Amino acid sequence: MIKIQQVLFCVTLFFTMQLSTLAQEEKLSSTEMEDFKRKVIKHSSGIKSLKTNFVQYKHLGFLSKDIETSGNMVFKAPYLLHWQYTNPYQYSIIFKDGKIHINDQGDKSSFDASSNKMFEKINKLIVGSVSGNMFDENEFSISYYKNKTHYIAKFVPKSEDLKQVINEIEMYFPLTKLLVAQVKLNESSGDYTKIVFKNQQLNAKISTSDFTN
Amino acid sequence: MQKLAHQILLISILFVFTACGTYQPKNVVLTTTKSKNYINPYFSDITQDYVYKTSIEVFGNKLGGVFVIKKIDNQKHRVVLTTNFGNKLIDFEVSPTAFTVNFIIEALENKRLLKILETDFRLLLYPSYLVDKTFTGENQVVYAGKQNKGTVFLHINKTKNFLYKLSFTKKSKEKITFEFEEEKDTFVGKLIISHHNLPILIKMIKI
Repeated sequence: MIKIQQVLFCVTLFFTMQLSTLAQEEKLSSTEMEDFKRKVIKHSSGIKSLKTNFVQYKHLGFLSKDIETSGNMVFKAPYLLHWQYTNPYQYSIIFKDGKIHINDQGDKSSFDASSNKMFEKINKLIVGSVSGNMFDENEFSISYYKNKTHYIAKFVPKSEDLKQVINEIEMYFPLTKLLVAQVKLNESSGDYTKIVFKNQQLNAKISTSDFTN
Repeated sequence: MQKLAHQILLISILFVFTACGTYQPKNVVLTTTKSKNYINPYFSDITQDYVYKTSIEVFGNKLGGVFVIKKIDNQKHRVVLTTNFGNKLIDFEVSPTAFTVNFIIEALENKRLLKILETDFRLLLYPSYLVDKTFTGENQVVYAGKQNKGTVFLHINKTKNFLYKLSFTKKSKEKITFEFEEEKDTFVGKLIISHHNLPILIKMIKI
């Protein structure tokens, strides 16, 4: 039995090493990790607002190409958020004062989200993804890597309800900038959703009209 | 979810006793009873990804998302529904004889709901329909044949020669209507699936 375990361990180790070589990712040392976390937390605490465009790629293995959608996002600390798709369709969602407001191509609806813990978690998740501060060890098992261009933080949800929605979240921070440039939501099937942020404006001027749909 | 299941059951029972009128294609006359296969003109290109922005109204609840349909072999299609954010809600494969669920979120795990999806997408995605009646009118030709333990009526626009409506009937009552608009080759620009015995409406627009 011990022999089988040893073989399995070696095989796992081999494939892990192979994968990490392929992706050219190396695990951060504990000193690098603490330094990285400290810098991101410090940086994200200085984010009062953020405006950004994004492109979303939905990858489904059986399709010939990814489904591409794009739009923009406005965030105001601590939890005000407007996420809007503008191409190829219009869809926007606002998290404001415990309520969720949806405008689906002109079809508007609102509902109370304050009593729903799952929505609260999703809101935190999006805000965390945008600001980069998602280092909640109670909610996620977190591991840290870097490649030639980015730091990569990988989050595996611990709670069953979040596991239902997401298998793993990868956040890419450029080595030279402590703001999330890309988020990848991995599914256990190998399919994923990748969101690439563009034209990020940190602490840009925000008006109340940015949070109406 | 149990509440939704009870609602589905109750409404199903109600509608069994309040069924709609007898279905008969209008302004057409029966011209032949010769059997033939009508090849489904839509969703048939194995190289094409059919992607639709979707809105679903089910028992008073609204759900927006993206439906993806892909023909994966001669008989089979793969269908995935995601939220607008890309989260997968359901992933299944359907053929004339099989229905396999690859993934479903817990909140949607409901036998009745799965049966509805199986019926709707099987009817929509049959590679061909065996028809044995042809009705002809001034603007349309209607083919009819037994399918899925009921009868399928395929309405073809005579001028433009395209399938614009599929009606599924059981015991002469119309149960489900599929309306097709803005077709281009095998791609339907707009698709509406409406149920006549359940409060379910699915609208799909090509993206």
